[in-house]
Amino acid sequence: MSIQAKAQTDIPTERTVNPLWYKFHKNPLTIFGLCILLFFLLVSVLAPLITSYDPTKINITERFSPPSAKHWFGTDEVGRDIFTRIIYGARLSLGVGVAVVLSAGLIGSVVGAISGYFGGKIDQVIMRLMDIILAFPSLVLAMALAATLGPNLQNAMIAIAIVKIPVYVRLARAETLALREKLYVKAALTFGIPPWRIIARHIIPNAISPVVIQVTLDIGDAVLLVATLGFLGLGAQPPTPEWGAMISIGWKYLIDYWWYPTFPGFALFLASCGFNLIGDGIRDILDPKVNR
Amino acid sequence: MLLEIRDVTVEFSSMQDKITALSHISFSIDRGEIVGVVGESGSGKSVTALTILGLLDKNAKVASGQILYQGENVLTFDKKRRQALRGKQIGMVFQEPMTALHPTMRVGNQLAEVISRHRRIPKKAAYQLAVASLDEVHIRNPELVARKYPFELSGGMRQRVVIALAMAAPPDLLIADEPTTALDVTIQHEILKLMKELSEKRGTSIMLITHDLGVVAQLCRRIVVMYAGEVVETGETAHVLNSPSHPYTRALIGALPDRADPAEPLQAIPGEVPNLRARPQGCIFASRCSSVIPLCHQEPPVLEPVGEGQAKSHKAACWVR
Repeated sequence: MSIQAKAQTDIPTERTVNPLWYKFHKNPLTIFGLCILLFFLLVSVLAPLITSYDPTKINITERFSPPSAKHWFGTDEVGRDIFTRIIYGARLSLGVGVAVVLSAGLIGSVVGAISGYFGGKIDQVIMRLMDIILAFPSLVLAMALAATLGPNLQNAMIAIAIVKIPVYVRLARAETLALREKLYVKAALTFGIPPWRIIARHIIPNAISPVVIQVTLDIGDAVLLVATLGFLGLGAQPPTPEWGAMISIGWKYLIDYWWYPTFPGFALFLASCGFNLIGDGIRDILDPKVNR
Repeated sequence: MLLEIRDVTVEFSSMQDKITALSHISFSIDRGEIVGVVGESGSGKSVTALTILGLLDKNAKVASGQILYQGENVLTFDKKRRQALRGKQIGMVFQEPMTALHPTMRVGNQLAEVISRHRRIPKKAAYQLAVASLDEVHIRNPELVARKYPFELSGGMRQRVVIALAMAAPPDLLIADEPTTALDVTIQHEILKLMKELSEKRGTSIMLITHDLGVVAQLCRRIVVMYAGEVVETGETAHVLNSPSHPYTRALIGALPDRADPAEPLQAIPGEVPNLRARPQGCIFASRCSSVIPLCHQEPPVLEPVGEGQAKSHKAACWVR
């Protein structure tokens, strides 16, 4: 690299406030959602530092202890610290929610790009398949899939991912249909670039932005779905510290030991609240029709 | 002969009807030759280019004819061979340099991608060649430009990048579809000069699609005049422009603004391009022609030599001599 070229790139560019960030921080609810999320993120990353208990260690002598200085959220029927389990559960729920939605988004955009790019029969088959998936209520289909695959966390993740895929396929396909007609895609063909490479390098990177937005909107939903399947016994199995599974066992003790299902339920509420607030915020920010 | 188009007819069909976009066109391009294809909008220039490359839309059909590339009919090639032909042997430069580049990929990477594909070399080495090829199309400071995104470049720069991309293989034939229309006059001249230089340096043939007769006069050895999907006149540029024998070519030349007398009103060709859904029985230009005779409406003229001796390659499709 020549010295001259280097010098030119080193000139600092003028920094202005990013307009997206401006809109974002003008919206207090979104900021609130972001705070909740950052809180959960921090808590799940620092879990072993925050609590000294083991989330699966049984301690019969301390079963059903009410909330106290020792056990902030009390203990459950085998004496495990509920606060600890919720924190480790945050790790699980957030991780699973993000992983599920990301993989659904990735698979969905690839399938959608292929569908839109090639069109014709491939498109017909793929889109009708997606229509079939969309025809069912997502929870019912996820339950059926999870039950068929066998009740464990991994299968619950697969089930939720499958249920989530069609939305991404449709988004990516719609973008691809527009991109396919762009001159630079045609030009790439004349430069001798094969179709699969055009899809990978020219279509998907430019079709991804609506998918990314949808991902942020969907994570909260996925977290809730994971917990729902857990609650119904189709997701994570005990003794995994999963919120849904904890509530599922805990609600039977609600009358005598109110803290058992209440705290995991509150954590779940808070988390999905946070995701939804952020999702709504992002949608408002990126929607050109909403002007404030 | 590098490329020979023989009697090619292309039809576009929609639900209701069929449009004949190209009707029995024939012309050829020699090795190292620059051939100008001129005609007004809708005369089938771009369709010709897309037909050669095999990039017509799905509703188009080549109804007759052959396209011989180095003696082989490319229309019979399978998808893979067609793909191999594109870029590697036939490159294309588009009218709109603004939209012909990938918007979110750095220029150098785009070039490197194409180069590494054609020459089967690793990306790193290809990137070096990409920078070198930017230098070759006279982009100053190629290392810096290679790291820029297309939106950071001017129209002229982008067109140079597109030319570098199209020439990456390097191909034997470059199809340039109105490469200078979207650029301003001073840049136009430079881009044309660049193409001519590259053609001479590498022996690349160029099929230059344009509606600017001035460009053709400057650059092309031979000219093909198209009208409504037909070749109406062809020959050496000097012969065709100095003694045009088809009324359409005469009208095109007459429509050029006169620099000597700016006050003179611009000459337009009366009427418009006929409906390609229903081609007339006779000459396609008859409805707009100033020297029409009864025969013109009855039978279509064929492309026949008009000159003697040296000018024998000069042909026109007209009954009136």
